[in-house]
Amino acid sequence: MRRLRVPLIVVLPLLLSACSAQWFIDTFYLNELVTFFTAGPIAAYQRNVMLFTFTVMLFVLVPVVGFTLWFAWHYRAANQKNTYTPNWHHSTLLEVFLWGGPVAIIIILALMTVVSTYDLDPYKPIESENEPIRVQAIAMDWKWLFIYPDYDVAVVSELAMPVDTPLQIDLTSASVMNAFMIPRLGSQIMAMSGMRTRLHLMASERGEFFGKNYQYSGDGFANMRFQALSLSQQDFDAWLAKVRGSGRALDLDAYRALVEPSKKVDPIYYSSVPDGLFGYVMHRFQVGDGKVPPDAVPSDLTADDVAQHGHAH
Amino acid sequence: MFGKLTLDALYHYDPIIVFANVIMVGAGVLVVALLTYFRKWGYLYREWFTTVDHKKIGVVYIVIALIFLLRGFIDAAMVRGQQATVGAGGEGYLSAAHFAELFTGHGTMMIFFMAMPFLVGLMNIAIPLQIGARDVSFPLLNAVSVWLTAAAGALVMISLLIGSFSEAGWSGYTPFSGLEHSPGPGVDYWIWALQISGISTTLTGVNFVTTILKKRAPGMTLMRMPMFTWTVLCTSILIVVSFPALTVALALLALDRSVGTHFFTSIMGGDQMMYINMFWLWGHPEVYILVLPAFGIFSEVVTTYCNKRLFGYTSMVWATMAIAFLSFGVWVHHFYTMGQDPLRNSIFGIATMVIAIPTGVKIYDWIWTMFRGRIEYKLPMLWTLGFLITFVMGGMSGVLLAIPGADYKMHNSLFLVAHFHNVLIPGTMFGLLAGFYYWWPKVFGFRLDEKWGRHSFWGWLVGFYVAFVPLYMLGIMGMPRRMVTYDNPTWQFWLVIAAIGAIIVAYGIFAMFMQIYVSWRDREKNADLTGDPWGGRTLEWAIPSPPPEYNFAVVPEVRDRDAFMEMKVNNRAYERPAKYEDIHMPKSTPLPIVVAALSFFFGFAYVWHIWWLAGLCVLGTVAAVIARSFNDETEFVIPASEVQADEDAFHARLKQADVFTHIDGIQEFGDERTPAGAFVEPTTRATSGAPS
Repeated sequence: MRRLRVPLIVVLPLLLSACSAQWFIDTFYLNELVTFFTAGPIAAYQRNVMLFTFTVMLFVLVPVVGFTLWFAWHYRAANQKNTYTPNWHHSTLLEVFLWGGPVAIIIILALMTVVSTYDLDPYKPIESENEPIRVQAIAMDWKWLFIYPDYDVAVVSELAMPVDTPLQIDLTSASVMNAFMIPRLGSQIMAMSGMRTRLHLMASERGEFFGKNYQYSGDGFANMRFQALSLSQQDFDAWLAKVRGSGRALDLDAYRALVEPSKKVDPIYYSSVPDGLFGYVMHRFQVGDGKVPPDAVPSDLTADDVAQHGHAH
Repeated sequence: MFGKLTLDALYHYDPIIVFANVIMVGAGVLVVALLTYFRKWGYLYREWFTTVDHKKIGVVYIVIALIFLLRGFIDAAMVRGQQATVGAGGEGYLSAAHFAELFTGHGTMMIFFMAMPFLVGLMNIAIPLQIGARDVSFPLLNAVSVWLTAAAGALVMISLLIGSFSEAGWSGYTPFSGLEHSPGPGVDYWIWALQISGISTTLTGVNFVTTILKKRAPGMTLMRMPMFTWTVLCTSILIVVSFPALTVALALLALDRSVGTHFFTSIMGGDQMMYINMFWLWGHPEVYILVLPAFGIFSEVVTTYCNKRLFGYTSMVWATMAIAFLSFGVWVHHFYTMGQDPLRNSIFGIATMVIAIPTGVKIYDWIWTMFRGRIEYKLPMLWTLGFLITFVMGGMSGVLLAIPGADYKMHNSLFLVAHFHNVLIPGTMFGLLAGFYYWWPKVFGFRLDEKWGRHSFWGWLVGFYVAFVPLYMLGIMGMPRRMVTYDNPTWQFWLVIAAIGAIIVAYGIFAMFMQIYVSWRDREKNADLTGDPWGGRTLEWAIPSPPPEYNFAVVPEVRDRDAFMEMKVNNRAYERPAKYEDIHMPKSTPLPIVVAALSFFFGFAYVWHIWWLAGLCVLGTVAAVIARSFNDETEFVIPASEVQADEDAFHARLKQADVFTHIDGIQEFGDERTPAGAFVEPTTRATSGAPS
């Protein structure tokens, strides 16, 4: 037994250090921390904002926790040797530091906030060599419809994009308030009926990322997710061809059937979409009962005009 | 005849709800049977249902709070249980609708029927005593407030049995909470429960602003008020200013749902974003309404158990006022993602962060109060330390979420859920529990058990970390809040840990009830004879525990911030006048319970569209108030002889406990470097008698 102990003491730390990093990652699913493992410039910027803030805030956390524990231990009643000043209650110099410290930290963070808020404004186009692709997203009970007006196709529960190409996503809702987000790509924004919001995203690596509605919207909320596919230009073209080849047209009757509540909806491809459908869906909340009648989409409606009447800009 | 109410309302699709109802109705029947068997109804009616005594009203508030702490916690535990056991892609034991009722109920109950009543209860108990008053300014209004809260709570309870509760989340976002998307009675129950409790809270706010400004003992200038009184003043002002926004938002939503207006609908020009603005225009100040009085409690606790004056009192007062003022300018941070321009988001982001400055100052002031103190580790001090260390993390994640750029990412995720629990549990709950232990002997005349209290503390503290650190992780992993199921298998690991945390918190809650039981059992042994069990510094410790109905036999004269400590040091404590005088006190009245019962039936009738009953209730309320106005004899007299007898008995107890020898000792108790008599600051010595 004596002989066994020595090797154990030597081997155990070696074993631990060899496998601990991987063990930690596997056990606590640290590689799933998607907020830090970003796949696009917006999300990367946000990660940096968070890490910067966290670092600055350590200048608050460490002294507070440190002083609390130190004083709590040191000035315990049992320790009668300590200085005891029951009437001491003011020190101008100390107060200057107590107010000045937080003020300095907040000034730093406030400057960063202004810069980052303007940089990360969801409405701000992303600079890129590639032309942005327009997407119109309509939140429904309980799935997302994505229209590609430039390609005259539409998809449910799947959002494909070429890598390194900005997306300009216009959003509205055919039902309650929803919130669109693909965590690995970045920002979230609300989708609201009768109104249009806008979000710019870009994927800088290829892959499949999950996207979801983040705003509670009823029974089917939990499964209201979609796959975001970041593809090479070639694969994206192939994907478009696949969608076009589905032969299923999203006419107004098909739209009216789709908009009925349904849960856990798998991807559906539509090879054509009526021009101006997105604006029309918004418009019907502004002038009607929010439902789309079976006749044709009025040709004089542009989404920009309709959005002027909504509240969000 | 019965509007929309049919027998179908009693049908519940979910066996769990049926079981909960059996428990609830069974417990109700048992309580009624026991009260009848022991013939306690007369006692309850005389001493509790009709009382206008602020101390008893405070106790009723806290009883309501403890009942809803249990219900709110059970809801939370069921949510945690569902998410931990459902597994990726599974169905779980809860339906989506029931799950939504649970997270809505948890939030609603914990905010409106646990934290608020607990807080208002402690305010009721401590404020008049701290400022040397015999009651609040409007004792009858105070009784109306407490029973309105009870009526609102009863509406929440009855929704479990008849119909269902809201599924729209505790904030009831439109258009989801509109008639088109939530046609059932749930949202109406939610509206009227909040509306009635909101009116109750508004009345409380009015009452306490007036009480604190007008009823202070002579010599207690504003800058000599105890910190708890200051924070309650700020909270009461916040209540009076912010609650109307909620009342109006809910009233308009009720009109949308029952009359067919279009204030917040998605069609006919309704503005869904307007509701959200109005809700948070109340909702953000509400956070500070909840947390400021807890800050006040921590201030009292730190000074008392460190045996030291509060460091930076003036800073504390300004910081509290600054927080109260700023809290009205930050509501947009609840919806950065609604499409505003970056200018607006930046302004509200910075305003939010600026609140961190006065909050940080307060934290440092408590820490520097501990510096060179003699810290006694009684339970409230443990809660305070737990608060300081845990709250600072919540503040950190709060500053993170205040930055629009980061919030675009973390909004609506479990990171947000973790953040506000990380602020409200240490900030409010720990403060409330510290105050509960601190003032318990004052109300009941015996101390709470220390051992079970420590079990409760460790249960809450450890449970908190185990339950909410995983939610931070899950938020960073991208998990949204309010998910009845999910298809990412890696989330389950952390959800199971969070559920274990909930079990540990459950032990903390159990230990708290054990603490109450054990202390009651050993009440003779734990008796507080002197009225000053902690070596207190403020006026409430100058009178017997429990205090007589009139609180102060003689209205005290205040010469220092630490009014009672000054009395002890300068040998003025327990001074007796040459002659006692008759004391006029308000009479008990059944009006509050009549008004509350009518409000309950009004709310119930409105939920089910039983218009004749709703109309009768309104008429009945008006009639009851008019009838009361004809009553000229609303006061009774406690004769001087009775006051004298009470005081004789109190002084006999003080002698028995050897208090006077101890007080003589306190003269040397001060800092030796401070000249004798310097305890009273010369600058504030001149008394400007506040109206009493």
